[in-house]
Amino acid sequence: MLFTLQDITKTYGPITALRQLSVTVPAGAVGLLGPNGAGKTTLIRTLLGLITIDDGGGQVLGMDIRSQRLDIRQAVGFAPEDECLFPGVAGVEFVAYAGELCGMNGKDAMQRAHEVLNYVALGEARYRRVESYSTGMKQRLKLASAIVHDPRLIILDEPTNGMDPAGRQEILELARDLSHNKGMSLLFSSHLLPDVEAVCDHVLVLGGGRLLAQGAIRELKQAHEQMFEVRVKNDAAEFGRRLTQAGCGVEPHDDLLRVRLPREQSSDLLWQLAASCGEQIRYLRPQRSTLEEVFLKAVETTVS
Amino acid sequence: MPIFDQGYQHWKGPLSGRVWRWVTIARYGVRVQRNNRIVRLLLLTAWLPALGLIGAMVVWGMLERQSESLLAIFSKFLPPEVLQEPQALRATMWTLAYSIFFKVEMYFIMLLVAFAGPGLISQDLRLNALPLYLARPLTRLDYFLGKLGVIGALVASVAVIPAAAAYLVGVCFCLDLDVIKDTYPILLGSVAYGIVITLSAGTLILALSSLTRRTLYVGITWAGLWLISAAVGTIMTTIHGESLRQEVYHAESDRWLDEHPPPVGAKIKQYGNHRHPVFQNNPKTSRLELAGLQPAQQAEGDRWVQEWSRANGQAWQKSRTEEGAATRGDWRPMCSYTANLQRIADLLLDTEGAWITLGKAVDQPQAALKKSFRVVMPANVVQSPPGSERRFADQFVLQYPWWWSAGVLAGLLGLSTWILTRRVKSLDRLK
Repeated sequence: MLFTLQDITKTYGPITALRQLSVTVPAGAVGLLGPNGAGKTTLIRTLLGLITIDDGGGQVLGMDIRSQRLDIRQAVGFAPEDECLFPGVAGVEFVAYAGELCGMNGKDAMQRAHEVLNYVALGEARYRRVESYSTGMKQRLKLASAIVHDPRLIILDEPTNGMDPAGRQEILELARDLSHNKGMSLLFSSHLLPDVEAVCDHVLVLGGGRLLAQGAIRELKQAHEQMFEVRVKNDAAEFGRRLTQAGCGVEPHDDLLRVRLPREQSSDLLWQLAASCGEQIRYLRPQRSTLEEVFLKAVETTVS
Repeated sequence: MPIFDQGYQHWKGPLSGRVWRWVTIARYGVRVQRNNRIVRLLLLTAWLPALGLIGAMVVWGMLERQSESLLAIFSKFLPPEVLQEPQALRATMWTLAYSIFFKVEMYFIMLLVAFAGPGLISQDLRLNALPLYLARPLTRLDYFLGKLGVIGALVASVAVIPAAAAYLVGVCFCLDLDVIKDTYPILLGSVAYGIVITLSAGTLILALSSLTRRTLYVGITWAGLWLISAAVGTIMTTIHGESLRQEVYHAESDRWLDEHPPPVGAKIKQYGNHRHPVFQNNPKTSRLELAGLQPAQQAEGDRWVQEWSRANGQAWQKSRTEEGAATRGDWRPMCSYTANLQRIADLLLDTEGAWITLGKAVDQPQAALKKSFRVVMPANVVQSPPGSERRFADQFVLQYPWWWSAGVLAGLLGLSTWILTRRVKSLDRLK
C-alpha cells in the first residue's frame, strides 16, 4: 500500500482545504487530479508532514504521518510546484546539497548528483548557477534533487507547469520511466488530465477538498459504449418516444437526451429516426468517459 | 536492445545520523559566504588585531625572559619590582590584552554579521528554498542551528581561533608549563565569549533576516541596531555623567563660597544656579587677579584665590568620585548592544580584577596608560582618588551589575527565538 488516509481535515481560516478525506492508494504510479484549489498540494503536504492537520490520520509507506514525519521524508522525494532554489550555487552543487540534507556524505552526494543530472538531461548545464536556468531546466533540477537519495516514493507537484511541449513530454517520459521501469512509486499531481493519463495507472480525483473518484485509469477511461448525447431542434420528448420505440434507452438530462443505442446499432439510427419524423439534430456526441465527467464535475464543484 | 541500462541507477549507500544535518546546512552556508568578496576581505583584515594580540603575547613572553631591549622600554611604565618578576603579572597582562583584542575585534564581528547574516533566511524566503529544506528529513531546529552555525563559524574564525592561536603562541614563548595553570581561564573565557556572541548576534540577525525577503533592509536594520544603539548609549551616558559632575561640582563650589566669602568688593558672577568669582588680567604682573578689589586688598585677594583654587580642585575631585559611584547603578550604557556584550566579556575574562591588580602594582601617571589605550576608553571616563587600586578598573570597565546586561541579552535572545518560531512555523505561512 502506498498511503492510507483516514478522515483528514485541514482548514486555512475560513477555507477548508481537505474535508474528512479518506483514501487507500496502492503502490505504483498514482495520479492526483483536480482543478486549482481542489486540495492537491495540501494533500501532498499532509503526506509529508509539512503542515499540521486539524483532524484525522494516516500512513505513508507504512509510516504514521503524525509521529514518523522525518522517516517519511527520508523515504520520499518531493519536487514542489513553485520555483524553489538554494541560492548561490551551481546545478550539481544544488543536487548534491539536496542529497547531503538527506544524510548522504559529501562524496556520495556529488557522485550521485552527476548521475541524476545526466539522467534528467541537465549534464551540459550542471556547472551553471541555478538562477540562470530556464523554467524547464529548473523543473528537471527539482526532479533530480527529488531522486538523488533514491527514494521509494516520488511526489511531483505540477511538474510540467510552464514547460514547452517538448520539455513537457520529456518530463512525462522521465516520470513514467521512474515509476514503471525503475521500481519507484510515483504520486503525480496535476490539473492536466492528459499528463496524468500519460504517466499513471491509478488516479485520485479531488474537488473542493473531497475525494470525487478513485480507481484504475483504464477502467475510468472506458467510454460509455453506445451512449450518445443528443439535442434536437423541435420536440425532444417526441423524439425520445420514437427512440424508445426503436429499442433505445433514453434519459432526458436538461435539454439533452442521453441515448443508449442497441448493441448492433450505430449512430446512423439517430439520423434515420430524425429524418423520419422531420426532426433536426442540433447536437450529437458520444458520452464522455467517467474520468472526464468526474473531472469536469470537480471543476464545477470548485467553481461553485 | 541495450546490454547495460545507463539511465537511472539505484543507490544504497550509508546515511549520516540525523543529529548532524545542521552541520550540512552550516557548511553550505559558509561555502556560500566564502564566495562573497566583502566577507573574504573582512575575514582577512579581522586578523590584524589578532596579530596585535599575538604580538602582545610574544612581547610579554620575552619580557619574562628578561629581554634587555624590552626592559628598557617598559621601565618607563612599570615599576622595577614588576620588571624583575613579570611572571607575577602574567595573567593580568594577558587578560588585559585579550580584553582589548575583543573590544577591537567586536567591530569586525559586527561588520561580518552585517554582510553575511542578512541573507541567511531572507534569501531562502525570496528564492522559496524553505520547502526544499523542510521536505527533507530535518526539523526546523536543524535549519536554525545550521544557519546559526554559519555565524558561529565566522565568529570563531575572527575571534575564538585567533584567541586560541595567540594563547598557544604565548604558552610557547613563556617556556613554562605553569603558564597554563595561570591563564587557562582566559582561554575558556574567550571560547565562552565567542559562544555568547554567536548566540546573541546570531539569533538576532536570523530573526531580522526572517522578517523580510529584502536582504538590504536587514543589513540596514542591523547597522542601525549596532551603530545607533551605541551612539544613543554613549550620548545618554555622557550627558548624564556630565550633568551629575557639574551638579556636584557647583554644589560644592557654592557651599565653599558661602562658608568662605571673598574679600569685600570682589566680584562674584551668577551663572544660572551657581556662582563663580570673576578674574581679570593684571597687565603689570601678567597674572589673573580677583576683579573688583582695591590695590590694598590684593594680598588678601591672592590668599583667597589660592584657597579657592584648592577647594575648587577638591570639588572637582569629589564630582568625579561621585560620578564614578553613580556608574555602578547607571543603566544608560545598556542602550548600546555592543556595550552589553562587552560587559559579559569583562565578566568572563575578569577584566575588572586584572585592572585592579594592575592598579595595585603600578604607580605611574594615568596619562601614560590613557595615551596607550585611548581608543578603548569608554565615554563615561571616571576617576577614582589618586592611589586607589580601582582607578583603572573604574575607567576602563563598565561598572553596572553584569546581570543587567545578561538580562538584556537574554531578552533579545528570547525575542529573536519567538520571532524565528513564528516566522518559520510551518509551510502554512510560507509563499
